[in-house]
Amino acid sequence: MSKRVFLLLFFVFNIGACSHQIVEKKGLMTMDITGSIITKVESDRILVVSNVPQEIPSLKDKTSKYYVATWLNNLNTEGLKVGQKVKYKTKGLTITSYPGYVDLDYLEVIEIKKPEGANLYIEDVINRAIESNPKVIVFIPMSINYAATENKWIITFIDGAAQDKIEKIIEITDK
Amino acid sequence: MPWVLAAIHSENVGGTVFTEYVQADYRAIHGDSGAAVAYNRYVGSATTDYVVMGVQSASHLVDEAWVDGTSYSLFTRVDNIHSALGLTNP
Repeated sequence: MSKRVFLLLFFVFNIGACSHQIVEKKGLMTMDITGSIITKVESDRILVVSNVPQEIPSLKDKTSKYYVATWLNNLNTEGLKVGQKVKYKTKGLTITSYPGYVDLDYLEVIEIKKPEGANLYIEDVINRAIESNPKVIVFIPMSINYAATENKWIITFIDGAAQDKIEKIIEITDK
Repeated sequence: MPWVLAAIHSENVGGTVFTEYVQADYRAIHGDSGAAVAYNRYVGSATTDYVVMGVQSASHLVDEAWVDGTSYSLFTRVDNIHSALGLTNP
Protein backbone atom coordinates (compact mmCIF):
# COMPACT_ATOMS: atom_id res chain seq x y z
CA MET A 1 0.00 0.00 0.00
CA SER A 2 1.34 3.37 -0.88
CA LYS A 3 2.10 5.87 1.86
CA ARG A 4 -0.41 8.20 0.24
CA VAL A 5 -3.30 5.74 0.54
CA PHE A 6 -2.36 4.92 4.13
CA LEU A 7 -2.34 8.57 5.13
CA LEU A 8 -5.62 9.11 3.37
CA LEU A 9 -7.22 6.16 5.14
CA PHE A 10 -5.92 7.37 8.48
CA PHE A 11 -7.37 10.77 7.79
CA VAL A 12 -10.80 9.70 6.74
CA PHE A 13 -11.20 7.17 9.53
CA ASN A 14 -10.76 9.99 11.94
CA ILE A 15 -13.07 12.46 10.34
CA GLY A 16 -15.49 9.89 8.90
CA ALA A 17 -18.71 11.53 7.93
CA CYS A 18 -21.78 10.56 9.92
CA SER A 19 -25.11 9.55 8.51
CA HIS A 20 -27.68 9.66 11.26
CA GLN A 21 -30.65 9.16 9.02
CA ILE A 22 -33.15 6.81 10.54
CA VAL A 23 -36.73 7.17 9.41
CA GLU A 24 -39.44 5.77 11.68
CA LYS A 25 -42.82 4.77 10.31
CA LYS A 26 -45.41 2.58 12.02
CA GLY A 27 -42.89 1.21 14.47
CA LEU A 28 -40.43 0.31 11.75
CA MET A 29 -37.13 2.17 11.70
CA THR A 30 -35.50 2.39 8.27
CA MET A 31 -31.74 2.84 8.05
CA ASP A 32 -30.26 4.89 5.22
CA ILE A 33 -27.93 2.42 3.51
CA THR A 34 -28.24 3.91 0.04
CA GLY A 35 -24.81 3.82 -1.56
CA SER A 36 -21.81 1.54 -1.34
CA ILE A 37 -21.45 -1.20 1.26
CA ILE A 38 -18.48 -3.42 2.08
CA THR A 39 -19.54 -7.06 1.75
CA LYS A 40 -16.19 -8.87 1.91
CA VAL A 41 -12.89 -8.01 3.56
CA GLU A 42 -9.59 -9.68 2.75
CA SER A 43 -6.03 -8.77 3.72
CA ASP A 44 -5.41 -6.31 0.90
CA ARG A 45 -8.76 -5.78 -0.78
CA ILE A 46 -12.45 -5.30 -0.09
CA LEU A 47 -15.57 -6.09 -2.08
CA VAL A 48 -17.85 -3.09 -2.29
CA VAL A 49 -21.35 -3.25 -3.76
CA SER A 50 -23.74 -0.46 -4.60
CA ASN A 51 -27.49 -0.69 -4.12
CA VAL A 52 -28.08 2.19 -6.53
CA PRO A 53 -29.27 0.78 -9.87
CA GLN A 54 -27.36 1.74 -13.02
CA GLU A 55 -28.60 1.68 -16.59
CA ILE A 56 -26.99 -0.81 -18.93
CA PRO A 57 -25.69 1.48 -21.68
CA SER A 58 -25.73 -1.10 -24.48
CA LEU A 59 -29.38 -2.01 -24.04
CA LYS A 60 -32.26 -0.14 -25.61
CA ASP A 61 -34.47 -1.48 -22.83
CA LYS A 62 -33.82 1.14 -20.17
CA THR A 63 -35.74 -0.83 -17.55
CA SER A 64 -32.89 -3.33 -17.21
CA LYS A 65 -30.50 -2.33 -14.45
CA TYR A 66 -27.28 -3.55 -12.97
CA TYR A 67 -25.57 -2.95 -9.66
CA VAL A 68 -21.89 -2.08 -9.39
CA ALA A 69 -19.79 -4.58 -7.46
CA THR A 70 -16.03 -4.10 -7.32
CA TRP A 71 -13.01 -5.47 -5.57
CA LEU A 72 -11.02 -2.45 -4.42
CA ASN A 73 -7.32 -3.29 -4.36
CA ASN A 74 -4.27 -1.55 -3.00
CA LEU A 75 -5.31 -0.85 0.58
CA ASN A 76 -4.68 -1.85 4.15
CA THR A 77 -7.97 -3.34 5.29
CA GLU A 78 -7.24 -3.09 8.98
CA GLY A 79 -10.24 -1.56 10.73
CA LEU A 80 -12.59 -2.17 7.82
CA LYS A 81 -15.63 -4.38 8.42
CA VAL A 82 -18.31 -6.07 6.39
CA GLY A 83 -21.44 -3.95 6.45
CA GLN A 84 -19.75 -0.56 6.58
CA LYS A 85 -21.07 2.10 4.26
CA VAL A 86 -18.32 3.81 2.29
CA LYS A 87 -17.53 6.45 -0.29
CA TYR A 88 -14.50 5.92 -2.48
CA LYS A 89 -12.51 7.01 -5.48
CA THR A 90 -10.65 4.71 -7.81
CA LYS A 91 -7.65 5.08 -10.05
CA GLY A 92 -6.59 3.44 -13.27
CA LEU A 93 -8.21 0.66 -15.20
CA THR A 94 -11.19 -1.34 -14.03
CA ILE A 95 -11.16 -4.99 -15.00
CA THR A 96 -14.74 -5.31 -16.18
CA SER A 97 -15.54 -8.70 -14.76
CA TYR A 98 -18.38 -9.06 -12.24
CA PRO A 99 -17.37 -8.14 -9.63
CA GLY A 100 -14.82 -5.83 -11.20
CA TYR A 101 -11.31 -5.09 -9.98
CA VAL A 102 -9.75 -1.66 -9.58
CA ASP A 103 -7.15 0.09 -7.46
CA LEU A 104 -8.40 2.29 -4.66
CA ASP A 105 -7.40 5.92 -4.47
CA TYR A 106 -9.48 7.18 -1.54
CA LEU A 107 -11.87 5.62 0.97
CA GLU A 108 -14.20 7.20 3.47
CA VAL A 109 -16.24 5.22 5.98
CA ILE A 110 -19.68 6.65 6.67
CA GLU A 111 -20.98 5.85 10.10
CA ILE A 112 -24.55 4.62 10.35
CA LYS A 113 -25.91 4.98 13.86
CA LYS A 114 -27.92 2.06 15.18
CA PRO A 115 -31.46 2.75 16.34
CA GLU A 116 -31.97 3.54 20.00
CA GLY A 117 -32.61 0.35 21.95
CA ALA A 118 -31.13 -1.98 19.33
CA ASN A 119 -28.39 -4.38 20.32
CA LEU A 120 -26.86 -5.02 16.92
CA TYR A 121 -25.00 -2.54 14.79
CA ILE A 122 -25.81 -2.25 11.09
CA GLU A 123 -22.49 -3.92 10.26
CA ASP A 124 -23.43 -6.95 12.41
CA VAL A 125 -26.84 -7.18 10.77
CA ILE A 126 -25.44 -7.12 7.23
CA ASN A 127 -22.69 -9.57 8.15
CA ARG A 128 -25.21 -12.03 9.60
CA ALA A 129 -27.46 -11.65 6.58
CA ILE A 130 -24.55 -12.47 4.27
CA GLU A 131 -23.48 -15.46 6.36
CA SER A 132 -27.06 -16.75 6.33
CA ASN A 133 -27.09 -16.75 2.53
CA PRO A 134 -23.89 -18.46 1.42
CA LYS A 135 -25.30 -19.29 -2.03
CA VAL A 136 -25.71 -15.64 -2.91
CA ILE A 137 -22.72 -14.78 -5.11
CA VAL A 138 -22.81 -11.00 -4.85
CA PHE A 139 -24.89 -9.99 -1.84
CA ILE A 140 -26.33 -6.52 -2.24
CA PRO A 141 -28.30 -5.18 0.75
CA MET A 142 -31.15 -3.05 -0.55
CA SER A 143 -32.86 -1.97 2.68
CA ILE A 144 -32.60 -2.51 6.41
CA ASN A 145 -35.45 -1.98 8.85
CA TYR A 146 -35.52 -2.44 12.58
CA ALA A 147 -38.77 -3.50 14.27
CA ALA A 148 -38.21 -2.65 17.92
CA THR A 149 -41.43 -4.19 19.19
CA GLU A 150 -40.61 -7.50 17.53
CA ASN A 151 -36.93 -7.29 18.41
CA LYS A 152 -35.86 -8.07 14.86
CA TRP A 153 -34.19 -6.68 11.78
CA ILE A 154 -35.69 -7.06 8.32
CA ILE A 155 -33.22 -6.97 5.44
CA THR A 156 -34.05 -7.01 1.76
CA PHE A 157 -31.30 -7.99 -0.65
CA ILE A 158 -30.58 -9.14 -4.17
CA ASP A 159 -27.90 -11.26 -5.78
CA GLY A 160 -26.09 -8.87 -8.12
CA ALA A 161 -24.75 -11.81 -10.13
CA ALA A 162 -28.17 -13.38 -10.70
CA GLN A 163 -30.10 -12.90 -13.92
CA ASP A 164 -33.21 -11.88 -12.04
CA LYS A 165 -32.79 -9.08 -9.59
CA ILE A 166 -35.62 -10.22 -7.36
CA GLU A 167 -35.49 -8.81 -3.85
CA LYS A 168 -35.47 -11.38 -1.08
CA ILE A 169 -36.13 -10.85 2.61
CA ILE A 170 -34.32 -12.14 5.64
CA GLU A 171 -35.13 -11.50 9.28
CA ILE A 172 -32.51 -11.43 12.00
CA THR A 173 -33.18 -11.40 15.71
CA ASP A 174 -31.67 -8.44 17.51
CA LYS A 175 -29.44 -10.26 19.95
CA MET B 1 -20.66 5.23 -33.11
CA PRO B 2 -17.67 3.87 -31.19
CA TRP B 3 -14.16 4.51 -32.50
CA VAL B 4 -10.85 2.72 -32.17
CA LEU B 5 -8.52 5.16 -30.42
CA ALA B 6 -5.31 3.12 -30.61
CA ALA B 7 -4.66 -0.15 -32.41
CA ILE B 8 -1.81 -1.06 -30.07
CA HIS B 9 -2.07 0.14 -26.50
CA SER B 10 -0.15 -0.75 -23.34
CA GLU B 11 -1.07 0.13 -19.77
CA ASN B 12 0.26 -0.57 -16.30
CA VAL B 13 -2.34 -2.03 -13.95
CA GLY B 14 -1.18 -2.50 -10.39
CA GLY B 15 2.36 -3.24 -11.53
CA THR B 16 1.30 -5.55 -14.34
CA VAL B 17 1.78 -4.18 -17.83
CA PHE B 18 -1.04 -4.96 -20.22
CA THR B 19 0.30 -4.97 -23.77
CA GLU B 20 -1.10 -5.12 -27.28
CA TYR B 21 -4.59 -4.12 -26.34
CA VAL B 22 -6.86 -2.12 -28.61
CA GLN B 23 -8.15 1.09 -27.09
CA ALA B 24 -11.65 2.17 -28.10
CA ASP B 25 -14.37 4.46 -26.84
CA TYR B 26 -17.32 2.06 -26.61
CA ARG B 27 -18.90 1.83 -23.20
CA ALA B 28 -18.30 -1.26 -21.11
CA ILE B 29 -19.50 -2.02 -17.61
CA HIS B 30 -18.85 -4.55 -14.88
CA GLY B 31 -19.65 -7.98 -16.24
CA ASP B 32 -18.68 -7.21 -19.83
CA SER B 33 -15.24 -8.85 -19.66
CA GLY B 34 -15.15 -11.80 -22.02
CA ALA B 35 -17.78 -10.35 -24.32
CA ALA B 36 -17.05 -10.25 -28.03
CA VAL B 37 -16.18 -6.87 -29.50
CA ALA B 38 -17.52 -6.95 -33.02
CA TYR B 39 -18.73 -4.88 -35.93
CA ASN B 40 -20.72 -5.35 -39.12
CA ARG B 41 -18.42 -5.18 -42.17
CA TYR B 42 -20.00 -4.29 -45.48
CA VAL B 43 -19.14 -6.96 -48.04
CA GLY B 44 -21.21 -5.64 -50.93
CA SER B 45 -24.67 -6.27 -52.31
CA ALA B 46 -26.33 -4.87 -49.20
CA THR B 47 -24.72 -7.59 -47.11
CA THR B 48 -22.59 -7.43 -44.00
CA ASP B 49 -20.40 -9.87 -42.16
CA TYR B 50 -20.34 -9.94 -38.37
CA VAL B 51 -16.64 -9.62 -37.58
CA VAL B 52 -15.29 -10.30 -34.10
CA MET B 53 -12.28 -8.07 -33.42
CA GLY B 54 -11.56 -9.22 -29.91
CA VAL B 55 -12.75 -9.71 -26.36
CA GLN B 56 -13.52 -6.99 -23.80
CA SER B 57 -11.00 -6.84 -20.95
CA ALA B 58 -10.97 -3.57 -19.04
CA SER B 59 -12.20 0.00 -19.05
CA HIS B 60 -10.95 3.26 -17.70
CA LEU B 61 -13.86 4.51 -15.60
CA VAL B 62 -14.01 7.51 -13.31
CA ASP B 63 -15.08 6.26 -9.89
CA GLU B 64 -17.09 3.44 -11.46
CA ALA B 65 -18.80 5.71 -13.98
CA TRP B 66 -18.28 6.16 -17.69
CA VAL B 67 -17.31 9.74 -18.54
CA ASP B 68 -17.47 10.68 -22.21
CA GLY B 69 -14.17 12.02 -23.46
CA THR B 70 -12.21 10.55 -20.54
CA SER B 71 -13.24 6.92 -20.29
CA TYR B 72 -12.17 4.26 -22.74
CA SER B 73 -12.23 0.49 -23.07
CA LEU B 74 -9.53 -2.04 -23.89
CA PHE B 75 -10.03 -5.29 -25.69
CA THR B 76 -7.78 -8.21 -26.47
CA ARG B 77 -7.22 -8.69 -30.18
CA VAL B 78 -8.73 -11.86 -31.56
CA ASP B 79 -5.52 -12.74 -33.45
CA ASN B 80 -3.61 -12.69 -30.16
CA ILE B 81 -6.21 -15.02 -28.63
CA HIS B 82 -5.85 -17.39 -31.56
CA SER B 83 -2.09 -17.25 -31.29
CA ALA B 84 -2.05 -17.84 -27.53
CA LEU B 85 -4.40 -20.82 -27.80
CA GLY B 86 -2.91 -22.27 -30.97
CA LEU B 87 -6.12 -21.76 -32.91
CA THR B 88 -6.78 -20.87 -36.52
CA ASN B 89 -9.56 -18.77 -37.94
CA PRO B 90 -11.31 -20.71 -40.72
